[in-house]
Amino acid sequence: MNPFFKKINFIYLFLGLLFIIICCKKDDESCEPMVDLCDLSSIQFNPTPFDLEIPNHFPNVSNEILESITNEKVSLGRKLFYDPILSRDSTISCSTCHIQSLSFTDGRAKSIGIDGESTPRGSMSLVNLIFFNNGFQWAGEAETLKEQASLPVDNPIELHGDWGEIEQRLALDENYPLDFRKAFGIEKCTDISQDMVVDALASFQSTIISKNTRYDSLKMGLVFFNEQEARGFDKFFDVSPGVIDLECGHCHTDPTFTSNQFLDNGLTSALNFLDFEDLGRGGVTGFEVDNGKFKAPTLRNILLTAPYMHDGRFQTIEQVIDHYNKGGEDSNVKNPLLVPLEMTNQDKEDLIAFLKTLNDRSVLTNPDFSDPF
Amino acid sequence: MNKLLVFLLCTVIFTACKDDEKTEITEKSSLSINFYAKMGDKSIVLEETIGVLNGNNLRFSKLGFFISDFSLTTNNGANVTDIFDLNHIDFSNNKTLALAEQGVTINNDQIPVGNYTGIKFSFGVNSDFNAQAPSDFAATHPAGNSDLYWNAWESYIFSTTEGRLDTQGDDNFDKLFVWHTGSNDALRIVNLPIDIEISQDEDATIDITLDLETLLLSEDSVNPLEVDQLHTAESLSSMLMVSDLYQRSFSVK
Repeated sequence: MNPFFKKINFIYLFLGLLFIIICCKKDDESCEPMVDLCDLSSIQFNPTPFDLEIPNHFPNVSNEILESITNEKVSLGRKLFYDPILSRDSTISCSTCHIQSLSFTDGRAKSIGIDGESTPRGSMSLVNLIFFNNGFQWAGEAETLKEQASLPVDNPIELHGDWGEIEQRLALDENYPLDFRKAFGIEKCTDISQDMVVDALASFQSTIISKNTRYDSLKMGLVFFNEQEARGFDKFFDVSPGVIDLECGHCHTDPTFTSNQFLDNGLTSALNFLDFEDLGRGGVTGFEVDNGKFKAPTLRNILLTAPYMHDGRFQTIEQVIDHYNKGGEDSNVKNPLLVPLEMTNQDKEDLIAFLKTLNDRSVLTNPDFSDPF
Repeated sequence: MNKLLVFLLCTVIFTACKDDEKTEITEKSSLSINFYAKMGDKSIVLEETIGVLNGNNLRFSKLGFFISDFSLTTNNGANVTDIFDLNHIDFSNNKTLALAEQGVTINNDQIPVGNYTGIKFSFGVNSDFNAQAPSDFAATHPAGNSDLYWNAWESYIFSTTEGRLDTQGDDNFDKLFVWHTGSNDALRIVNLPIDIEISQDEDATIDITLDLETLLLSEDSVNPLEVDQLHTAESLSSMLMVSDLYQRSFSVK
C-alpha cells in the first residue's frame, strides 16, 4: 500500500478511535439514566391485601399470615412459579413438577429434575399448604412454607439454581424489578433477594386452596351425598356403630384430608428401624424411630393424582386400597392402625365413591393458578 | 340526718373498694410443670420394649393427652384458676432415653406468689370447649390440630395410647393396639396434693408423672390383647374405663 494512504488510514483510525472514545464518554453520561432505571424509588409502593376466601369449615389462618399475603406478592409469585429463570439453565420451573392440570403433581412415580435426573420421591400436591402445621414435603425437609418454596430452587437434582445468580438475573430483567418494587417496596433492582423470591412463591402457593369439592358442598349444606357416597363417608370416618371402620380418617383428617403427621404406613416389611432404604422422616430428624415415616398426603383430588405413595409404587387407587385392606406389609414398626380390614367389594366401591367427592376440578382450571406467560 | 348517713355509707363503700383494689395487686412468679411418661420407674421411650404385659413384651408408639382448666389451691383453701391454657401434652419427642427423661414442660410466669397445697386439672376438654372443632382455631393452636379431633364423636381426642405387643416371644411385635378416648363422658378431673411455695426468689417446678403401669397393670385394667381398638362408639364402656384408669395414673413426685 502507498505510504501516503497508509498515513491517511492511520489518521482516520486515530480520529475514529477518538470519536469512539468521545461517544463512549457521551454514552457514559447517557448511561446515567440506565442507572436510574435501576432506581425504583419513584414508583409507587402500595401493596393491597389478598382476599383469601376460606370456608368456615376450614382451619383459621392467623391475621399475621393473612396480612403478609398481598396481591402484588401473589402475582409476582405466580410469575416466578412458572418462570424457568429460577433454574440453573433456565429450562425448568416449579411448574415442571407441579402441574396445575394434575392438581400440582406431575403424574410420575419420581419427578425428573434439571438434567433429566430422577428425584428420590414423587412430587407432592401443593393444595392447601397454608393450613399445614407440621412441616412440608414427604419427610418434612422444610419447616415453613417459605422454606418449602426455597429448597427445590438450589437442589442439585431439581432446579439447581444459584441464588446469587438468580438475584442478578431478576435484577437485570426487563419486568421483574418493577414487580418486586410493587410487592416489596425495594428501592433498587439490586435489592431483590432470595428471601423476597421465596416469600412471593410462598404467597402464591398459599392461595392454592382446594375448597370446591362435593364434600365441601356437603359441609356447607348445599348438597346431600347419595347413598353410596354416604356409606363411603361412614366407613372412612367410622361414624355409625356396626359399620366397618376403614381407619382412613385417622391420618386423612377433615377438612384438608391430611393429619400432617409422619407415619409408617406399612410399605416396607421391616423387622426394625434400620430396614428402610429411604429413611424418610428419620433422614431429617436423625432419630431411628422416625425411619420409614412419610407425611400423610392430602386426599383432595386423590383420584386425579396417580401414581401413589412417596415412591409412586401404586398405579391405581384400587392397589392402594388393597394395600391397606391387608394391613400393609408385615412389620415390627408400622403404624398400629394398620390392621387387616377384610373389606368386601362393596366396601371398596363405597370408599371410592366417597373419594370421588374429594375431587376439586376448580383447582385444575382456576385461571388465577395458571401460567401467566 | 338520713343524708348524712347515706354520705357516710358511700364514703365507707368507696374507701373499702379502694382497699380491695390495693389487695388485688399481688406479686407474680414463675411455675413450670413437667410431665413424664413412665412405666413404673422407667421412662417410656417410644418403640423400645418397656415392660411385660400378660407375658408379652410391650412397646408404645404414641402417647399424648389434652389437659385443661388448670387450677391451684392455696394453703387457705382459695383457688387460683386458669393458670394454664389448653395444652396437648405430647410425648412424641420421647425418641431417646435422654429426651424421655426431659419430659414435657409447660410454664406460666404469672402465678401469684404463695403457698399451694393442691393442683387440679381436667384430663380432656370440658363440654363447652368440646362443642368447638379444629376449624374454630388456627392450625397452629393445639385445638386446631385435626389429628387430635375425631369427627365420628364430634369430640377432641382426649388421650392417645398406641403400641404393640410381642405375643409369641419371637421379637415380632404382632399385636397392635390403638386406644383413643374422647367425648364429654370421658372427661376426668385430676386432683393432686402438692406442697409448694411459689416465691419471687426462684422459679417453682412441679413434676407430674403419668404411670402407665396403673393404666395397664391394675386389677380393673383393660387388656389390649382383648380390646385392641378403642375409638368407636361400640367400645364406649371400655373407653370410659380407660379414662378412669388414666385419672388414677397421675402423681406428683
